[in-house]
Amino acid sequence: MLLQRIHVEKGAYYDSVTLMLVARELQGMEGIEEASLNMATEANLKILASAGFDVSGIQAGQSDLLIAVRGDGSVLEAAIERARELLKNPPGRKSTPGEYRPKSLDGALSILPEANIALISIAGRYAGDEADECLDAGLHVMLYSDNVPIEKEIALKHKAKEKGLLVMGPDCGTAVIRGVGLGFANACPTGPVGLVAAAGTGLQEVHVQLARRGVGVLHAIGTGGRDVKEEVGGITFLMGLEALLCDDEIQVVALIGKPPAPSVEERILKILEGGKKPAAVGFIGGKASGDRPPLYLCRELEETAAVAAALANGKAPSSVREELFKSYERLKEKAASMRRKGFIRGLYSGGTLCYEAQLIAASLIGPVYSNAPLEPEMKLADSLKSRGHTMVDYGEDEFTQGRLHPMMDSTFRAERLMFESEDPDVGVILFDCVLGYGCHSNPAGQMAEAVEKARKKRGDRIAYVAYVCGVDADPQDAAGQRKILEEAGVTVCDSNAEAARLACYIVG
Amino acid sequence: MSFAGRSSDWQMAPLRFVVAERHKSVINLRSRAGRRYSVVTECGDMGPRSVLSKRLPHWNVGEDVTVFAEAIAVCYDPEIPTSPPSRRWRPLWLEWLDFLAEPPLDVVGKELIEGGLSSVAGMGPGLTPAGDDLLAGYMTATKLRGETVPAQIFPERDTTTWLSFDILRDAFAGLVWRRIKDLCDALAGERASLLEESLISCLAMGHTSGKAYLAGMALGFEA
Repeated sequence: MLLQRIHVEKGAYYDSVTLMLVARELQGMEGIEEASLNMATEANLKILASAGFDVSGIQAGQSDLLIAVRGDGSVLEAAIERARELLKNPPGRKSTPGEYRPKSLDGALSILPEANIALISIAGRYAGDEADECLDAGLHVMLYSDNVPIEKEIALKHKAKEKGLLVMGPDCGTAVIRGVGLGFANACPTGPVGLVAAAGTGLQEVHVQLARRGVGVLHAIGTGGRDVKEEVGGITFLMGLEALLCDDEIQVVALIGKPPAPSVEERILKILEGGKKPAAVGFIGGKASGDRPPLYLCRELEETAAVAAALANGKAPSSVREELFKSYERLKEKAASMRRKGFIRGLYSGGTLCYEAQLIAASLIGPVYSNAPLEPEMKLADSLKSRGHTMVDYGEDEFTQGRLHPMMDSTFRAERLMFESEDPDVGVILFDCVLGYGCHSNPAGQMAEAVEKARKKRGDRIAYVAYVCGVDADPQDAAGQRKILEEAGVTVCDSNAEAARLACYIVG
Repeated sequence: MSFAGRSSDWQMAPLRFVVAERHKSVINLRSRAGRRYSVVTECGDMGPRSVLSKRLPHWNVGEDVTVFAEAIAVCYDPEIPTSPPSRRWRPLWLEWLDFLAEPPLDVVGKELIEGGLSSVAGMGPGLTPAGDDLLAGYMTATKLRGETVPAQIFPERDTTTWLSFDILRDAFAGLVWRRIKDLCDALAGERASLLEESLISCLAMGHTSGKAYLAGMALGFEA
């Protein structure tokens, strides 16, 4: 009989990578069926409960660590002890021989005085102060950390602006500077396009789609999603845009994100109209439409990339757009042979990809429920319970506080895929696999394993549709990842927009 | 047995030893006066009273051996350099103090706070306890600054291992191992790449020796 034990380590903060590595060590122990280490946030307690752990009576707050193990009763105590021991000296987190890692900003700058950018990835509550120090040291900042208070973001960005420095983020997962990727970036070619993006996986998708069309990117400035809101006023977005317009090596500009606040959008468009460079503006789901050269307004990510590529190659954006939408139409023929009854369940690791999929689905098959919905009334009461057409963004804070981002570990998403496959009302399961530096080494493998298990139980009742956001040069090899999914019986599409449409046509 | 080079402090006269320890790339010998002499196969392992050899001789622990050094060319001078460290690197050496907050050196760090420098002698496992490595680092840094090492921090012979006591005697006299000497040279210069290289090399010394030595140097620089 399997037993469980949940140990609370009071006031212990560990980064999510360490927690994942320790959990994996425990899972390898004889007699342990399941092990999980997470900060005791409300969401994580709920997730533990949904995984079958009895969390009643647990006295813990979000600054406490939960070590939960299930298995043979005789080894549970030893597993908890092993976890505590490993946390003191985490596995796989040591500096490899042949490198010296300074431990402070001043130390790093004494070794590398010519550095001009700092990438900060620490717990959000400390990240803002570190960014402040970096600005004082004259460094641009890429603030990868999330959960930084908006007041801090505003203060940092005003300070940076005064100093002529950029603060990319908070919650900026991807950037590219002179062709070098920072954070979750793909191994795409360098070229004449410059991007500014208030959307991490939106940036990745456009970067990848440009690469598919043989066009490279020199700079891609991530701003963090909140930058274009009224409170922040688009400080980084506007500075990034000005920088690209002034850069002689940039021939085409592409802007990506959810629609900015009206006042911010107005300023962005004004700057673009006054600039001399053609621009593909991809504020997806926005109200602005129609081309007014040098501005080309787009509604989706792949469309933005296709238009930017056309501008870089001297082609007419209108004809390229037309071709793209014709190719989407042809998906209906493909869908005809895959017809299923029921709802779509979308399981996303990329927030912008989930948002775009919802937009497309809403226009083709009606409203979609989500934990990050297009409209407030479509918000799921419980993110772990789907209803109707549902698309879940696993990158939302509720799922990433004290646990790994789904782009780094799809275990949790794969479990949900199997759970959704049991639902007789489900016709299509749609998901993404985002590749690039920093992402999981084999996300397709994680998801394919779940698909295979589900298909063994339920056969072909459900259609599985996926998109692999990546290129062959990525560490995970996009072609190899697609093959893994296809061999598991998944239909793999060439873009996020295509995958969302195909899913809709299958059930529509 | 032919040797490729020697340290400048290895006496020319034939010397008789007992083989004290045999490791993968080092043999430690004990002289009649109780000092450590070493045969090493890696340049980086050269230190005071060392000879360099392509391979280790087939000597067994406890065996009596004689080494004739007059024909061996000098390839290493263990005297520490006379140039003090550049202040440019201060932020970096201040970080080395953090090693004393990490396990397993945190025990030494705690003792240091409670009992001061003289209380850490012999603390820690292994042939060269971490507390002694820290003391040796402190002495090296003090010498580099051109100061005299306070005699009261020098431990009693019976507080630590034979090998460690010998290293401390050398550090007190301003003699160091090659890795440390390279670090001292890099600290006196302005080249970050050299400093990084020498730090990597120092951190590769033993399980905790490198970290403890660096922490000791930081304490010595800040004294």
